Amino acid sequence: MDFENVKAQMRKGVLEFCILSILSKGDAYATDLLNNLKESELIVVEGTLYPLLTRQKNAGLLSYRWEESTQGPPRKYYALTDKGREVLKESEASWRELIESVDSILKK
Amino acid sequence: MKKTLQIHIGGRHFHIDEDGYNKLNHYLESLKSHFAAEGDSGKEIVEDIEQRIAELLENKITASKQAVSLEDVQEIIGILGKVEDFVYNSQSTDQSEFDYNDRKDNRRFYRDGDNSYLGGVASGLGEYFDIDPIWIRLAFIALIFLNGLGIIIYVILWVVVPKARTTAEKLQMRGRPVNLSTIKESVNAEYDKIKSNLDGFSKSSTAYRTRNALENLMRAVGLVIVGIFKFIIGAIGICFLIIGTIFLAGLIMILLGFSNVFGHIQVWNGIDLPDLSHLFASSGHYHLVVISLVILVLIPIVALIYGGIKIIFNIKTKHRVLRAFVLTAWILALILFFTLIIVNSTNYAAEASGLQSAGIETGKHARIHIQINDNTENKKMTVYTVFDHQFNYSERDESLYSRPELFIEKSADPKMHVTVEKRVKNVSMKNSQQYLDRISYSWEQKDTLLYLDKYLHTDDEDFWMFPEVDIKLMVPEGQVIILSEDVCDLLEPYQQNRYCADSLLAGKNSIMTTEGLMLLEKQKTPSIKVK
Repeated sequence: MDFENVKAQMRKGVLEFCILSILSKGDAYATDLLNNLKESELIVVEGTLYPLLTRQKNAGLLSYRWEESTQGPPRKYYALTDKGREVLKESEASWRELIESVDSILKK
Repeated sequence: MKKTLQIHIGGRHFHIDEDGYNKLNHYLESLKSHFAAEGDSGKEIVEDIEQRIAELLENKITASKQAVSLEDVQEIIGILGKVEDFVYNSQSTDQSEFDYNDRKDNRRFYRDGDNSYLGGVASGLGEYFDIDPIWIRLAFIALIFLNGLGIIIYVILWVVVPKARTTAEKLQMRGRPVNLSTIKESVNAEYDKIKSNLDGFSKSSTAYRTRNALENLMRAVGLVIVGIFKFIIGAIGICFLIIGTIFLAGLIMILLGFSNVFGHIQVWNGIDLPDLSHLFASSGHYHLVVISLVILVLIPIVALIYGGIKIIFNIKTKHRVLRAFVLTAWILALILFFTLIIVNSTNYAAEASGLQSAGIETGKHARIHIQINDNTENKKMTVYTVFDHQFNYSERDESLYSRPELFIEKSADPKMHVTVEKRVKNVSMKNSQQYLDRISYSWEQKDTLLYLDKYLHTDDEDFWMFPEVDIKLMVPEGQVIILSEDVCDLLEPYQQNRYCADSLLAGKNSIMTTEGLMLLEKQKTPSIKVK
C-alpha cells in the first residue's frame, strides 16, 4: 500500500473538517485559511484548498461574498451556512469518537 | 537583456520575464485542462487560484525589482503545488463515470493514423461512431461497386479530414475529455507504440511503408490541388495585368491622337476614328466629354493592372479612402458623360437648309429625257452606314458621296423647274450653316436631255452632319418625259414604288397629269396623232 497516498487521503478528509472549524470562528478569505492550515502543517501545497472550497460551497456548506480590500482587488470571503454549521457539529462529534476509538486501540 | 511582458491576472497587472511568463502560462493551462471536466466549478477554482497567484506575485515585486522572474514563478508553483500534487482532490471514481456519459458530446472526426490500413478514414469513422472499423471498411468496399462511389468518398475524406496528430486530437477523436489524466494515459500508450515501432524498425514492414507512402501521396495530391488553384489565381492576375496594359497603351495612343488637334486620328494601323467634335454644341462640351470618357476608361484599366499586381504578388493591402475616392471619381465621370451626351443629342436638331431653284427651257411638245450622270467618276468607294444614312467615302479625294432623293411633281406654272434643297443637321446652327456650303449637287440640261448627278458631294469626311439633298423636278401638266432606268434609283421610295415597279415608266414616255406621272398610251403618243 502506498503510504503517501494514505496520508494524503487522511489529510484530505481532515482538511475539509478543519476548513469548516476555522470558518466557524469567523469569516475568512482563502489566504487566511491557508495561513491557518499551513501553521498547523495540515496543508502541503496551497492548490489543494481551492477545489475543496468550491466543492463545499457547491454542497451548500459555505457561502461567500466579495469584500473590498485595502490592497489589491476585492477578496472572496467565505462564511459558514446553517447547513455548514450542522455538518461541522456532526463532524466534531464523529471526530472525537474517532480519536477516542483510535486512542483506545493505540493504548492497548 | 530580457524581454518583459505585461500580464493581467487576478485583477492585477504585472511585468514578467518571457521565460517566467511561459512557465506561468503553462502552469495555468495545465490547471485549466485539469479542471475543465468540472465545468463552471472548474473555472471558479482556476479563478481562485489565479487570485492567489496574483497575491503571491505581488509579494515578489519590490522597488528595485519590478518584473517577475522565472525563479519567482517556480517558487509560487512550489507553494501552490503542481496539478499532480492535488489530483487526489477530485474524486477519481466519479470522474471516469462522468467521462463515460459524456463521450459522444465532445467527439470529433479525425483520421486515425494509428489503426489505419490506408488513410485511417475507416478507423477514424469507427472511433467516431463507436463501431468496429471492419464494418466501415466493408461498407466502403461495397460502395466501390456503386460506380466506384466508395473510392471517391474515401479519397475525398482522406484529403479533407485531418489526421489526428497531437495527443489532444487523438483524445477528441476517441471522444475522451482532454485532461491531464487522459493525456498522460494516451501519451504513455503512444510512447509504448513508438518504442515498439523503433524496436521493429530494422525489419519495418513493407505494409507500413506503403501506407506511409500513400499518406504522403495523398498529401501531395492535396498540395497539387492547392498549387493548381494558386496557379489559376496567378494566371488570372497575369491576364488582368496584360489586358490592363494593352488597354492603357491603346488609351495613351488615342490620347496622343486627340492632342494632335481634332483631325483624322490613326490608332495603330488602319483604325480610323472620326473626329467627333462637330457632334457637340461647343468645343467645351466636347472636351468635357473626352475627359470624362478618359476617366471612365482609365480607372477600370488602372484598377485592372493594380488588381493583377495584387493577385500576382499576393498583396493584401486595403486603401479604403483611395478606393472610395476613385469610385466616386468614376461615378462622377459617368454622370458627366451621360449628361453631356443626353444634352447634346436632344439638342441635335439645328437643321440648316438651302434652296436653289432653276427653270428649264423646253421647246413645245419636246420630250425631256431624264438621265443620270455618275459624278463619282468610278472612284473607289468605302460604304459607311450611319443610322439609316448611307455614305460612300472616297479616299482619293477625301470626300463623301451620298444619294439625293428625287421627287417628281406637277409644276404650278407651265414651265419645268429643278429645285435642289440641301439640309444639314447638327447641334449648333453655326456648324450647320458652315457645313451647308460644302455640299454640292449639280445637274445639267443639254437640249432635251436633263442630267442629274448620281451623288451629292461633300468635300469633308464628316458624315455626322448628315448632309441630305432633295431634288424636286417640277413638270408642267401635259409635259412628256422619259425616265431612264437609273433615275428610278434616285426616286424617293413612294414614287419609286409608284412609277418604277415592274419598270412601269422606266425608258417609256410618261406624261404629267393632275394625278401625277402616267404612262403615255401608244394611241395618244404624238407620233400616232401625226399618223
